[in-house]
Amino acid sequence: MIVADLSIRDLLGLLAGPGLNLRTGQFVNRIFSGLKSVGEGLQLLYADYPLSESDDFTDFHVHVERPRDLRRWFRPQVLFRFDATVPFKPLPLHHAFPMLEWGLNWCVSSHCHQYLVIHAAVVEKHGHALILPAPPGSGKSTLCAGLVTRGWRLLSDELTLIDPASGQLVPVPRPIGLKNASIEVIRRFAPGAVIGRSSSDTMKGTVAHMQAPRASVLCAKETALPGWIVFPRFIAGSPARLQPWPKAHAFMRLADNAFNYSLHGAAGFEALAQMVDRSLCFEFSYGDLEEAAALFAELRPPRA
Amino acid sequence: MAVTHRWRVVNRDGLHFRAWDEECVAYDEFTGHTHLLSSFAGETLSQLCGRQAPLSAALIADQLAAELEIERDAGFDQALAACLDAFERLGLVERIEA
Repeated sequence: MIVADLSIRDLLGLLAGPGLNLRTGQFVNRIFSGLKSVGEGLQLLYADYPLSESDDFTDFHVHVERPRDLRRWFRPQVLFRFDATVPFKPLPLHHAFPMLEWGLNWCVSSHCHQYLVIHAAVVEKHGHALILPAPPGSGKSTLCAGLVTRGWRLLSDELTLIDPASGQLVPVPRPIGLKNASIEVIRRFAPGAVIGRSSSDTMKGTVAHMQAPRASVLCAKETALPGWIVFPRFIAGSPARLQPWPKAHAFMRLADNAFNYSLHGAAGFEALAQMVDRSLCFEFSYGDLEEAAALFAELRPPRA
Repeated sequence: MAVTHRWRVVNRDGLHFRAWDEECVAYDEFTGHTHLLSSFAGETLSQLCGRQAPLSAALIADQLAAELEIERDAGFDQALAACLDAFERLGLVERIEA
């Protein structure tokens, strides 16, 4: 059964009652919420995602709810709760759906230490994964969203999960977070893309999420080996330029972008080094998504 | 000048290397730190890792010059001394007084 099989009434009923058991790649999330906007966001952006049986193991029990104090009514707010933990400050109520998305990212990056977790988008084509590590504001998610509308498979727009034992990259495809001008850029670039409601005045500005391609959701259990590591940077008006980047520097930047590199000790070093070994490394600047997508379409895979 | 001290790696078994092109990275299990090293620094550290016994700076310089196929001169020795001092500050190597 997938989310699209549920009517909005049944979906809201599960969220308000026993919880919605949503499978995202390797993880099962049990989501609880009495908020209609959360149900509507899930119905639109997670339509193709499988639902798990209620007795399956659940990785994350998460609640998106109104606080129990006066802020339930006065300038209403929303809270994200993970078991008994409230990791974030409350946000205005109309940020409920982005808060769920940020919370689910936090669940993975803060708890899934069986993987080496890098803050990077990752997409795949012809068996080779393209890893895009970058700080916020570098155009990483925009590039990722553009590429998945042009034949690349989405593994994640935020979290690259490396299995240290095998070096395989483990998918966790979820909606792609777009910010500010990127929302319109993607609407123009891919008119068929499904983009959810925009939430304005968040800590990241205006945000909206783009549905992951159905094919990526269906292949959510297929791991991939790294092929390219590309550090993207959006520069308005810049031509698309891909420049080889020294591997040792790529290693250090990946380690800087990792959530849990230090927890893995020597195994983390070896896993990261193996990923760099296997990959061609570049720095990439771009100012036009169409030009960027065309350049990546011509990217040569690393030699076996 | 008399040798007053020799050098050895603090945690020889817990030092992991990976070299690419002209640079390398080293992970020290003892401190949990990862270091980006030039090929000269990486080669110096790997010379020290290759020996259990502490080495004098002069012996390291001889071995390094042979390995890198370059002539030893005053500039070379100064660069090596600076490199060893930096390693000491990073907790990678220690002085053993003669």
